[in-house]
Amino acid sequence: MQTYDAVNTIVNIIKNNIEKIGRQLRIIEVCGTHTVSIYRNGFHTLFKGYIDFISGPGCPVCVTHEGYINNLIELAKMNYTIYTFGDLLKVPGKSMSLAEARAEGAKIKIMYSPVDIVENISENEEAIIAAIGFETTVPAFALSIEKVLERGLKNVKFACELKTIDQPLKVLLKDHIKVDGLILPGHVATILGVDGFKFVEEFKIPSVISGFEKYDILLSLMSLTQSILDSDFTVKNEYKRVVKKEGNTVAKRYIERFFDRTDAYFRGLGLIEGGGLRLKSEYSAFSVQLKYDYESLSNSACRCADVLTGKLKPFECPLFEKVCTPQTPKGACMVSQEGSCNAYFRFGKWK
Amino acid sequence: MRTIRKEHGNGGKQTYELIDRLFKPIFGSEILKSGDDSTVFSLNGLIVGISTDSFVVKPYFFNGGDIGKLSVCGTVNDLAVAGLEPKYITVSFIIEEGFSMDDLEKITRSIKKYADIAKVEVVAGDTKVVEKGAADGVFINTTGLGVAKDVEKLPSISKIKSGQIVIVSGDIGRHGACIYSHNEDLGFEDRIESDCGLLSDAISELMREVDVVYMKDLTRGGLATALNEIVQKSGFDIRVEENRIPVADEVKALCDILGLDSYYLACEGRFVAIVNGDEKDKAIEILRKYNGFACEIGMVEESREKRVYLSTTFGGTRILDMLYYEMLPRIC
Repeated sequence: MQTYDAVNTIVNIIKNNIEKIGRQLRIIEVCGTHTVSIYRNGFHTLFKGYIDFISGPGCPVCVTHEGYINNLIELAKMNYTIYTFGDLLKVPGKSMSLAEARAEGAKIKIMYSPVDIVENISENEEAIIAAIGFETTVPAFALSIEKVLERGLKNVKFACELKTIDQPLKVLLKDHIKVDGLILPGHVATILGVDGFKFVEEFKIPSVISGFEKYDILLSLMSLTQSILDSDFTVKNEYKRVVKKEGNTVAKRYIERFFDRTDAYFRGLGLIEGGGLRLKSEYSAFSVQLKYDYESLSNSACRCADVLTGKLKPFECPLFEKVCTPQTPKGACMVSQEGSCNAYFRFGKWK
Repeated sequence: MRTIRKEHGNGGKQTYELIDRLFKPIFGSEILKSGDDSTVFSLNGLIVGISTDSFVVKPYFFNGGDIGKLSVCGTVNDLAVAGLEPKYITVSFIIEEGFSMDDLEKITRSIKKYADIAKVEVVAGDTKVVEKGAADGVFINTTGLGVAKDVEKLPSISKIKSGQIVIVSGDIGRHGACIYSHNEDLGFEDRIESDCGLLSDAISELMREVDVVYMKDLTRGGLATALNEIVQKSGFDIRVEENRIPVADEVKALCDILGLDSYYLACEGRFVAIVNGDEKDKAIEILRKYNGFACEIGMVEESREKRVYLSTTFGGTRILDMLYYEMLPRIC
């Protein structure tokens, strides 16, 4: 009972803060896991009229473009075994998704950790590891490459479409979106530290690094609304049990050892300078050359781009619920379980 | 080209669409249209029910059961929740060449053991052996026949009214979590025991003491899918409360690690019962003899949007929809 009293107290503090500010707040949760947690725990109804939650571009599946999927399917047709994180399976490519390719006989396997794959793979299997994700997953790929080198494997390559969080956030805040506050991704911050998000302060927008449990989000909203009320632009850390000021220095060293910055194409934001990571030239033997035609990557009917940049609510997209559903996704925001459209569809039909 | 994909068999929305759009129109049976796991009908004045189910689980032996036990429990439970007394089952095997004879014997003995416990007799069967690669080890089909003791007391979707109480017979998601942890080799298979078990005794006692409105066992698609099936057929809404739904800590932990949702994880020894408010305490008391986690989780509501609502711990609300796709582990 005491827990619920405490929760009610915090909910009331958040609402009081917003009442003092005097308008509904637009808050962007950058990370897809936050999106799901917000909808799953009903925060969108609890703070209805107080907070308009906008999903940002921090879901690695949502920002993965169809060109990457097309490349993986082409590689599967060449008889490579493709190892991928599960939630990439249903992202639509030009003609099919990886799940559909798998149903037609392509060797596409789900992985939980690329390190496990390279530790256990036989030397006879020609494998390509689909390397996607933000800084959270990059150290695991760096470790995998170290293992490949240790084992002297010649049969494993990486299809890199790794992303960095800072550049897309800068583009989003500079060009695309007006928000009152940001909920910053706790997992990426675990690697980059609070220092890794200091750049947000330049935009004069209050922000908070948050964990993913419902209590984490509640405390972060209390902190963030207080920052908005005080016009305090310091990045706050409400995930202290995990996130350090300097981040995970070992993981950061691994990233720097194996990867260089490169330009990357984000669904919804386009080509972003320095928004990606590629293997350093001395490790290029382990990298698959991917061919992209960026001109052909936009689906004119699908409005994922506007959803990812907060210009559109999922249900305002003309395809939402009509032809675009989790069963028949037209864009990655509906594919990924952490996508905004998918979360809206499953938890939040509150128009 | 349209092809069958794994999610067509996950017990969720696509399974139902496959049945509704392909099988039912072609078979055209009036009886089949009820869409329940057991079909109850009158045969020369006797009310009987029949249910059939196929089992393809892998691994064949898991923490808390095996494919043989599962093949008996699955069919017997389908008959039991329809309010029937299970009497007879048939057992058919499709076996891949090269399958271990010792394993087949273990599975067969398990079938016999649980058929005896359920007081059902194995009365017919079939065996097919296919070449290596044409099946995956062993597949089992069981078909069960049950009889109604008291026709007046048979649970029915048409008896559902607003204000009635939804009870779950135990903690949810154990079977799905157990199989997931085995298949993904996560290293804690021994920590999550499947809920695979017979419901016939619990249901038999419940029906003796309480006028049960409706029952549904939780199988593929889990609690959320079962509740959605009830709202679709009854036309009423159901509201359940998050903080009442029992989920074991180890199941929660697995869900957190893999990004799964316990409300959609399969069970093989759990059911929901809908009862009138004045009988809920008696019903829970009876069910707790069989599982200490049995409890009230929600209520049937008057509004008729055919939706399941979940009241969250903090006072928010969200829709608990059917399972739309194979649950996949998340990336980060």
